[in-house]
Amino acid sequence: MAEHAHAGHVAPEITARQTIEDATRRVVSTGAKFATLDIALGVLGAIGLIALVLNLIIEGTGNREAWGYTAIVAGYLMSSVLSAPILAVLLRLTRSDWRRPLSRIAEIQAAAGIVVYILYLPLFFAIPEAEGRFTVWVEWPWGAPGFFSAVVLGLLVFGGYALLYISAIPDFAIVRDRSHDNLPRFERYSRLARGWYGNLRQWSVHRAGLGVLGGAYLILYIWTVSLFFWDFGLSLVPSWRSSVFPGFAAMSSLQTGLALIIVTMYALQRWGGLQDYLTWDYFWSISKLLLTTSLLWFYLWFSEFMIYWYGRKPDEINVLELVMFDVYGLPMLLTFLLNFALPLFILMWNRVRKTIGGPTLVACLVLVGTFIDRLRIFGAAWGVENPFAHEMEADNIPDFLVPSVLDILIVIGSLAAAAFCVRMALRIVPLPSIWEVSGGIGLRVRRQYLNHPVTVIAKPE
Amino acid sequence: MQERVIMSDQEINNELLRSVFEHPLRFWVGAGVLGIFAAMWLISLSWLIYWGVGVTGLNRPVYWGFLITNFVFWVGISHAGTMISSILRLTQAEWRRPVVRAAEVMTVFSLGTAALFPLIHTGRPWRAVYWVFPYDFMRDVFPNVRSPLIWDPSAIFTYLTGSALFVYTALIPDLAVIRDRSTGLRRTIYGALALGWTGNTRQWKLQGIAGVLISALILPVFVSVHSIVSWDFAVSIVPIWHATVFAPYFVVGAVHSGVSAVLTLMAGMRWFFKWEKFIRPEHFDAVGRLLIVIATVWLYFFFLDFVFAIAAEETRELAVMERRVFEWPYWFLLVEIIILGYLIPVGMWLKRSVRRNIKLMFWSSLLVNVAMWSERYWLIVPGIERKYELKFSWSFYNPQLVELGLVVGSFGIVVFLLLMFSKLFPPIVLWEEKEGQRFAANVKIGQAVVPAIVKEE
Amino acid sequence: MADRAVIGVFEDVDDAASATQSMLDNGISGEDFDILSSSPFPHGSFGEAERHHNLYVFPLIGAACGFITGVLITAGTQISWPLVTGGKPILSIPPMLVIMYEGTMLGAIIFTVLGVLFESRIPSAGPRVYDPRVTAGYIGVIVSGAEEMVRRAAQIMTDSGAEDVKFDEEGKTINLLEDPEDQ
Repeated sequence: MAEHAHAGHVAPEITARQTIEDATRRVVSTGAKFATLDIALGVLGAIGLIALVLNLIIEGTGNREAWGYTAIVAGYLMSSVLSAPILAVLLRLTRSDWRRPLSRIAEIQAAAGIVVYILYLPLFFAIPEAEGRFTVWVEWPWGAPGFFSAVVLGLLVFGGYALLYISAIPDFAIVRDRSHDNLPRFERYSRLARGWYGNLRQWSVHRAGLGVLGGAYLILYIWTVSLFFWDFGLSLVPSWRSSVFPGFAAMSSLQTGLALIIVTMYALQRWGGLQDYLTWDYFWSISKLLLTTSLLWFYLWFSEFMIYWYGRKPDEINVLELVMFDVYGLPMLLTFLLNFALPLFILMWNRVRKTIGGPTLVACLVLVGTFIDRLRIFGAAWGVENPFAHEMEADNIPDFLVPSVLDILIVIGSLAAAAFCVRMALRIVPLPSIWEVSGGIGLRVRRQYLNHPVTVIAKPE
Repeated sequence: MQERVIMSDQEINNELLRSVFEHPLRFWVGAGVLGIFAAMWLISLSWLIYWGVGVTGLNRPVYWGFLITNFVFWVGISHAGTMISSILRLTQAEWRRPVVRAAEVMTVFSLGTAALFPLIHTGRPWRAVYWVFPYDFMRDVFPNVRSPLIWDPSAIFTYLTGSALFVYTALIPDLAVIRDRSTGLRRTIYGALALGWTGNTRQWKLQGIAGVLISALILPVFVSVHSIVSWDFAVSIVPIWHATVFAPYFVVGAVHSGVSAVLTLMAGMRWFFKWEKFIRPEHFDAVGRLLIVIATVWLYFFFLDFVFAIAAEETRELAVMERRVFEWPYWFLLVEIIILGYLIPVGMWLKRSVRRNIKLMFWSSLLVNVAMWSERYWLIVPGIERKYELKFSWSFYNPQLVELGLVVGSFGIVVFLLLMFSKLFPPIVLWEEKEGQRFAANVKIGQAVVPAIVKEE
Repeated sequence: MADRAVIGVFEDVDDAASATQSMLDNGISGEDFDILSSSPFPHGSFGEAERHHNLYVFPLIGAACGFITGVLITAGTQISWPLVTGGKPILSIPPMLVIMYEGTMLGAIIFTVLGVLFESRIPSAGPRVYDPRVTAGYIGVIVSGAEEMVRRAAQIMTDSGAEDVKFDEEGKTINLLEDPEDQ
C-alpha cells in the first residue's frame, strides 16, 4: 500500500484492446470460477422468497408487526442497490473524468431492483390507509398510499434497468461482434445491441438519452426515497413529523450507495481481474464523497434531533425515546458510530483515503450501519400499534420489534437474492463500461512539463 | 469549453491591478452614489437610536421584522464566498479562478453587515454588547449558553474570522506584486502587509495546501452558520418555525441567494473594470449550471417544509399556513418567491444561450435575490404574528420608513465596501489566473483540438 | 568561508528549467537551489527538492485548544450561573456541542493560518537576494551555499540564458523594502 500513497503514481496505461478483452472475458467465458457462490446465493434467495410467501400465508397482511423486518430489508435495499446508479448519473452530469471505470459498477447494482419490488408487494397491502394519518396523501381521493407507491416504485425499478441497458448497448455490440464463433451468443447479443453500429447519430442519441434518463432517474429516486421513508416509516409513528427526514433518508441512501460501489470495486479489483482499472486513485476520489456524505448524514440527523430535543414538546420527546434513546437507543448508537463517527475518524486522513483498504473498510462499516439504521426507523414504525393516534403518548411507545424465524430468513434471503441478481447481471453486461473507459484513453495524456511529468485531462463539452 | 485569452504574467498584472492603480471617473461616481446609500443607512440608524425602537413597526409580539429578515438575508449572501471558493477549490473546478476572491470578500462584508442588524434591532446596541463583554466573572451573571441567541454570535464570529483570514492568506502573494510595482509609502505599507513574500518553492507549496486545508475547515463552519441562524427560529415552538428541515433549508436557500449574488457581482466587475478577458461567458455558464442544481435542491426543501406544515393538519399550523397562502401580502410573496426565485430564473438558465448572455444572467440573478429576501420575510413574520394562541395577542407587522432605510442602506454599504476593497486590493486573484494560464493545455484528438487542463495534484 | 547566494533571473521558463537541469547534472543538488516565481508550478517542474513541512500539526493543536476553550466556556458558564431555563438540564450537552464545535473550528482555522505563515517562514525581512521582476512573471533561480558552487551555478545560469545574474553583497542582504530604483 505504501507505494500507492506516492503522489506521482499513475495507473498503468490501458489500451482500448485490453479493455475489450478484460470487459468481455466474464461475459464470453462460461467458466465456473464462482459457481459455488452463485448457487449458494440462488438457494438462499429462493429460501427468502419461500419465507416471504409463508409469511403471507401465515400472517396475512393484517398484522403489521409481522412485516416489520420485510420493511426494514426493503428500505435497506432501496437505499443501497437503487441509489448506487446515482453516482454514475452525477459523475456523468459533472463530466468527471474518474467516473469511467466506475459508472458501470454503479449502474449494475440496479439489477437487484426486482428484489426490492417483490419485497414491497406485501407491504403495499399491509400499510394502513392514508386517511387520518400524517402522510403526504392529504385528502387524496383513492389509491393512496398502496397503489401509487406501487406505481412510483415500479417506475424507479424500471428506470434502473433502463439506465443499465441503455448505457450498455454499445458494449453489447462489441460482444456481438466478437461472438461469430458462437451462434447463440451472437444472436443474444444482436438482440441486446439493437443494431448498434456506433455511427455519429447513434452516439449523439445515446449521449442525449443517457443524460435525460439519468436526470429522470435522479429526480425519481429522490422523490421515491422521500416518499417511501415518509409513508412506510415516519407516517406510522404518531407525532413524528420531522420535515428533514426525507432529506436525511435521501442523503443516507446516497452514502449507502457509495459504500456499496466501493465494496464492489474492491471485490472486482481483488477477485474480478480489474486491478489495472480500479487503482487506488479511484478509491481516493470516491472516498472523498463517502466522507462528505458521512458528514452530511450527521448534519441532517442532528438537525432533527436538536429541534425535538430543544422544543421539548412531550409527544416529540416520546418520539425521541422511541427512535433514538430508549427503545432503539442501541441501534441509534451503533448507526451513529458506523455511519458517522468511524467514517469521519478514519477517512479524515488523506493517507488512509489514498489506500484501497481504508475506504473499503469504511464502506463495509457504512453498509452494516445503514442496515441497523433501517432497523431503527422501520422497526420503530412497524411496531406502532395505533398509527392513527394524534400524538405519541408515553404509554403507547412500542417495544423493540423482535424478528421471527421467517423474518430472519426473509432478511438473509433478500440480501442473497440481491447479490445473486447482480452476479447474474455481471454475466451478461460487460464491466467496466468499454465505451467510457476507452473513450477516456485519448483524453487523459501524460506530458512532460518542464522537468516534470504531469497528467493532462482534456474536457470536451 | 475554455475561451481563455493567452496572456503573459506581466499583462495579467497590468490588467488586474488597474483597479488599484488607476482612478477613473466612474470609480468616483460609483463611490459617490454608494456613499449616499451608506449615508442613508447612517441617518436611519441615528434616527432609530435617538428615538428608540418605537419609530419602527416592531411591537408585541413581532420583534423580528425587517431588521432580522435583513440579517438572515445578508448571512445568506455571505454563504456565497465559501460555497464558491471552498467547494470549487476542493473539486479543482477550473472556472473558480476569477470568482473566488470577489466571492470571499463579499462573504466578509455581507457577514459584517449582517452582524450589525441583531445589534441594531435591540434599540440600544451598546447594551447588547455589554451583556456579553466583559464576560462577567464579577457579578456572576452569565449569558445563557443554552440559548441559540448565544450560539449565533459564536458562529458568526468564527465564520467572519475564518473568512477574513482565508481572504488574507490568498492575498499575500498579490500584495507582493503591488509592493514590487509601487514606490514610497505605498511600497512600505504593501511590503509590510506582504510579510516579505518572495514566491519561493516552500511558500507556494504552503499556499497551495493552505487553500485546500482552510477550504476544508471553513466548509463545515459555513454549513453551521446558517443552520444556527435557522435554529434561532426552529428550536422555539412557534407555529411553522418549529420544523426540523429549517437548518438544511436555510443553508441551501443561503447558497441559492449567495451564488446568485456572485453572479451579479461577476457581471458588475466585468462591466465596471472591463475585465472581459477574465470573467468570460463560460464562467457565467458554469455558475448558471450550478445554480440550476442549487435552486432545485432549495425547491425540494421548500416543498418539504411546506407539505409537512400542511400534512400534520394541526390547527395552529394550518391557520398560519392559511394566512401565508391566502392573505395579503403573504400570498403575493409566496407567488413571487416561486416565480422569481425558481420558475423564471431556472427556466432561463436551462438554455445555454441564456447562460452565456451576461445581461440576462445579471437580471436573473437579481430576481433570485428579490425572491430570497421575500422568502425570509415570509418565513419569519407570519408565524410570529400568531405566536400565541389567544387572539388578543395577534398583530400585524407594518414596517416603517426607518427600517426600510436601514435595509436599503445595507445594500449600499456592502457594495461600497466591495468597491473600496477593489481600490486597495485586486478583486481577482492574480496568481490563480497565472496558474490557470499555466495549467491550460490542448490535446489533439484526430483533427480536433480539445481544451484540457493539467491535473492538480 | 561564508555562504554566498546568487539569483539568476530568467524571462523564459524553459531557460530556467534547462539551467536547473544543468545544475543538477553538474552536481548542484535540488536542496541547494530555490525557485522564485509569480505563481505556483507543479512540484518538480525545475527538479527542485521537495520542501517538508509540518502544517498538518497546526490545525490539530488549534482544534484541541478551541475545543477545550469551548468546553470550559460552556460548562463553566452553566455551572457558575446554574439557572434552569426551558426545562433543560444545567449541563446541556447538545447546546454545548454547538459552541464547542464553533470553538474547535475557530481554533483550527486560526492555527492553520499561523501555521501557513510559520511554515512559509514569513514574515521575514526578505531573502538575501531578490528581484522584483519575479512578480512580473520572471523566474528567479536562487543558489546559496559555498562560494565555489555559487559561482559555478552563476556561470551555468548565464550560459542558459539568464537575463540577469546577481550576487549578494558580502555581509549584506538586499532589502526588499527599498525602492527598486535605489537597488
